[in-house]
Parts: sequence; C-alpha cells; structure tokens
Amino acid sequence: MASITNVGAARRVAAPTGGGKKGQGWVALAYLWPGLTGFVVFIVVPLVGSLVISLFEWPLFGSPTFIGVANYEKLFGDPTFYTVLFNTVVFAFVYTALNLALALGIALWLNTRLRFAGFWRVIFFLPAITPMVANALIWRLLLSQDGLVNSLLGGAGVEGPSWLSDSQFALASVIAMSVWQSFGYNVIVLSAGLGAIPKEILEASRMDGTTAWTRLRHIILPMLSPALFFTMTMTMIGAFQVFVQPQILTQGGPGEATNTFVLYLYRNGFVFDRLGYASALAWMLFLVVMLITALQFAGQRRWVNYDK
Amino acid sequence: MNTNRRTAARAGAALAVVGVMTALAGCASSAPASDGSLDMYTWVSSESDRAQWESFVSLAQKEDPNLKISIDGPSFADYWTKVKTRLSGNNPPCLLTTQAARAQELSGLLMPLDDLIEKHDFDTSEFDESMLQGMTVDGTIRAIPYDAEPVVLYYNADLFAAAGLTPPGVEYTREQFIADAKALTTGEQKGLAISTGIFIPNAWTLADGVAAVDDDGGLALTEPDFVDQVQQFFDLVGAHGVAEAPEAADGSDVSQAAFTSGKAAMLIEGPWMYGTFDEAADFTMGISIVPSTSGEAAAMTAGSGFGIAQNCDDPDAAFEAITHLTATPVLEGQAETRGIVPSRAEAVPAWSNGKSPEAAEVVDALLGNATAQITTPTWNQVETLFTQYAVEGFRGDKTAEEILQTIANSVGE
Repeated sequence: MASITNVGAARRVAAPTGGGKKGQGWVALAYLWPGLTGFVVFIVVPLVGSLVISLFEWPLFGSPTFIGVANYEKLFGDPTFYTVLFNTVVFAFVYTALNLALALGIALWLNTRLRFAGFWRVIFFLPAITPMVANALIWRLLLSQDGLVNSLLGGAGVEGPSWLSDSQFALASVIAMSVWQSFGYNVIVLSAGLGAIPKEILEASRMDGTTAWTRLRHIILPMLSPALFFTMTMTMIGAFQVFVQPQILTQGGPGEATNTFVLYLYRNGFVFDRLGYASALAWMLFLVVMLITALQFAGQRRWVNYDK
Repeated sequence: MNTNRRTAARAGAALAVVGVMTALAGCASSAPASDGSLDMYTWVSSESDRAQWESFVSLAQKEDPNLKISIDGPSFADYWTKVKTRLSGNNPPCLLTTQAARAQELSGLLMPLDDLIEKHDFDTSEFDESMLQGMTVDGTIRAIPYDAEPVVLYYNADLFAAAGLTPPGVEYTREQFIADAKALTTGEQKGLAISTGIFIPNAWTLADGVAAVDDDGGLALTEPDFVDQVQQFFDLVGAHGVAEAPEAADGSDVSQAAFTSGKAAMLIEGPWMYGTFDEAADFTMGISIVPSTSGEAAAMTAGSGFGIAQNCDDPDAAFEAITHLTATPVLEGQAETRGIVPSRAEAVPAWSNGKSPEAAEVVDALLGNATAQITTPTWNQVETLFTQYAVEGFRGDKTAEEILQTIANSVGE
C-alpha cells in the first residue's frame, strides 16, 4: 500500500518538473520508443529468427524440419565453406590495406596547398556514390578478354591476360574494382581527420627543423590514428560482406576463385533453397566479423592515440 | 522504486509488442474481392511478357467467354524463388507456370494433374511426347505444356557461301560441323558463339542421346558418356579454337550479339529466338540441327506449361482454364504472334508461316526425335556451379571429368 502511495507521489512530482528520478523511466521510454522499435523489429527479431532457422532444414515452400546442429556439422565438412572463407579473408585484408594506403596517400596529397582540392575530393568520392552494380558492369566491360584494358595493353605490345576468367587474376580484379569503388569515402574521413590536426603543432615542428617524413611519422599519423582506426574497422566489416562485385564481375568463378562468403550464403538461401544452411553460414560470418572487430579493438591500444 | 521500474518495464514491453504487431499487420496483405476470376502467377519480366500472357487469355476467352484470369508475377529470374514464397502467403494463386526443366524443382508446389486429365477427358496424346515427359515428376504430369521448342543450330548463310561451304540441313555430323567451323574461323571471326551455363552443353549431349540424368532421376554428370560429351564441347574452344571462351558473368546476350553481328558464324539456341535473330541480322540466316556424331536429327526440347498449385481451392476450374489456354487455336495464335513452337503437333505449322521451308523441315525433323531437358531438384546448383567452372573447362585449365566430379561432389547426389 505504501509503495502504491509512493508511486503516485512520484508521478505527481515527476510530471510537472520532469526532473524526478522515478519518472525518468517513462520519459526515457518515450524517447527510446521509435529507435527501440526499429532495433527490435529489424535487428533483434531477424537475428533470433535466423538462429532458429539455422537449426532447421527450411525450404522456401513446405514444412521445415528440425535437425538440431546438423547444418553446423555439415558446414564444417563442406570444402566450399573453407574456400569462400579463405577468399573472403584474403579479399578483406588486401582490400582494406590497399584502400587505406590509397585513401591516406590521396588525403595527404589533398591536404597540401593544392589548388582545387575540393574539386578533386568530389572526383574521388564520385565512385562511392555511384551504384555499385553499374560500376561493376562497366569494369566487366573494361576487363573482358577484348575489353579496353587489354586493347590498351595490346597497343603497348603486351598481351593482356583474361582478367576475369583466369583464376590467377580474377580475385585481384575484383579487389581492384572494389578499391576504386570505395576508397573515396575514406579519403573524405581521413581528410577531415587531417584538417583537425592543429596547425600550430605542425608549424612548431617545422621551426624545429623537422623533415616532412618525420612530421608524418611522429605527428600526423599518431594524431590521425583515431580516424585511421575508424576507417580500418568500417572498411574491414564492409569487406567481409562483399557480394555485388563477384556476382556481377565473375559469378564467383572461375571455379571458386572469387566465390565469397555472402555470395555463397545468398545462393544457398535463395537459389539452392536451403534457408537453414544459409542461416548457419550467416551466423558463422557474424562470429568471424565479431572476432576480427574485437581483435581490432583490442589492438588499437597499441597504436591509436586519443591525446590532443 | 522497484515496482515503478517493473511497471515501466512492463509498459515498455507492451509498447514494443504493440509496435511489432502494428508493423506485422502492415506487412500482411488483405484478401482481394472475389469476382470469380482465377489468379495466375507467372514470370512477367517485361511489357512483352505481360502482352504474351494477356494474349493467351484473350485467345482462350474465344473458347470460353466466361474465363477470367488475372496475371501477376515477378521477373523470370526472380520467379523461381518468389513462387515458393507466394504460395506460402495469403491468397495463393491457383494457376502457375513452369519450365519443363524446372518441373522437378517446383514439384512440391504443383498438383499432379492425372486425375483431372482423366476426369475432364483431356487428350494428352495430341501433345509433344517429350514435353509431357519433361513435365512428369514421380510418374505424374504436373503441367500441360504450351510449347515444345527443339534447340537448333543457327547459321550465317552468307558466311557459309563466302567460304564456299555447303550449309547444313536436317542432317549434320560433328565431324563436318568442326570442319566447317574451322573454315569459318578467320581472324576476328569465329565459327561458333558459346554462352555460359549448362543449357547449351546439355543440348549438345542430348543430340547424341546422352542425358545428364539417369533413368531413376539421379544426376549422371560423372557417367563416362556424359563426361566425354561435355569434353567434346569444351574442346570446341580449347582444342579446335573455333569459339571464344565465354566469361562466367556473360549472359546469353553476348553470344547472341556475336552471332547477329556476324562475328560468329553459328550459334546453338532455342527456336523462340528465330524472329529476334532474323530481325537483328543483316545476313541470310538459316537453321539446322545441333550436330550429332551420326549426323541424324535428335533434339533437346525446352518449353513451359501451365500447372495448378498444390493448395488451389478449385482445381477443376483451374484445369478447365488450362484446357482453354492450351487449345489448338490459342497455340496457333501464339505461334503466329509470339513465335513459340506449339506443344500440339497440329498447331506446329502455324510456327512455320513466314519462315523458310528448310526451317520448318528442321523443326519437324527435330520434334520427330526429341527428348526434354529433364533435370533434378538440385539442378539450380548444377547450373550455378557449371557456370562458375566451365570457364576453366573452355580454357583447358581443367578437364570435363574434374569439373563434373567437383560439381557432383558439391551437389552431393
């Protein structure tokens, strides 16, 4: 009875001022409600749903059959699973490294006293806002056997390889197209990071007679490390979800040379009619991405500097 | 304090549940008003597709003025996935379409029609035998075919004449074909254009009577005869050099464009492309049989038909509609306006109207010795993997045996 009275009192106090501790739950809920609904409906429910589906043999039409962890057992005995995992890891690391190296180089170049820096920034950003399917189709034409790249090489007396049909070059071609497509985004982020470095520090170091390399190594890179960490993490997470590029450029071929995790997952779910197995694959991908991201966060203490 | 928290948590949970219910209610579709019409779910990739289905219905309405069919569906590529989810949802349609090659895959969705065929005294003997075989799953017919299209060899008659070669007719040996293709391969020009996928290689193997599926309905990809046939097909590029190796992501439009632009002298394709190719090509086009070792005509037929969904409420009305949709005048009309080769033998002459007598002879000869492209429920996986791996087969990086063994292992049959 006492508690009911207390609740009533708390409400009476909290409502007019909005500052009483006991009424804050309602206020917080009112603010959280729209976002929380989206989070529950679009994130939590599908996540739990896919975990449940992964325990079934689940066709698109017809009754699902509960099979326990058989999908996971099958997955570890599936050679294609290891192939696509390996391809995806290679893609993610090489793509992220090239992407960051290129984006950093361009961002440093744009940060010099360059004329029309804004114009160049827009040019580099353009591929990132162009639909990836369109970009991939153009690259397919460029890299085809008798495409523009091989025509140019032919003009220089070099016989170009089958970029998309030769397993030695196919994954490299997919990586090249992907880097071109997306490094512009990182250029923008790293440019913003470079712009935030106080000019006074750089001027002081110049007056102390430092070289450009020393400034880059000991001032710019440490102060840019939070931006570099952000771009590295986001690029890596995006890289593990690569799908459109191999789908359009190579269909995962030749053989399994460019078959990636999400492409394999998609085909299992929506082409081969195995939603349960696809869900098990999705959970493995989730765990791999979580692990890599956790390692990145663990490693950041060694090199990311948040001091100003 | 605790009670207050609990109340807030309960209220939050209630709000979340209400939110989820509201969102889900928004997703559910409502039942359309019933006006006695049948719903047909099919592929509608373009306005041209829609026009074809509407033309089917309007021609069928001449048979039965009371017939009402509403048409709905996604693109051809999406159809095979979405038809399964569509039948799981509200107000499932009664009429479905399927290709013979997909009948195995959709067998869980399609009602066996044998009892309805008997009940309605529907005479199936007038239909192309190979297509009926193609539409048969587990001994029961799942769809009534409306076309029976024997895969043919298109050739550029001008290039044959310029090279001093005799164009092929209703007979064509592989030996002669390879010799002709070599003679027609000069500089940028190739004897044959090849696309990715297993459809055309399967037509090649069936021209010699070798199927990808055994008598029990299992995959026979690793049978020596099938391996040998596929290796022969790969060798057209690798050993004989008479065709460009297709790239994995190339659609059939690439090989078709190579043929119609004159960059390749021959192309293996379905007869449904006759009108399109004839219009696009600025040369005299001819058709022949897919070459066989003996030189005799033997075709792989492809085609589609109308079936009834397993969960249809009124199968009798749906079957009645199918009998009208596949009536001879309807198929004749489709052959004349849309260029399909009709599944009813008596309607086939309508396809020949406006085409050369040789073309009609070739199609007649092929239909006289035809086998449908029969597949397995896992054929999608076979098709996908073949598209990925065949690139290496054409390039000579891997043999047909290695590739087909890998595919068979992956599919796990």
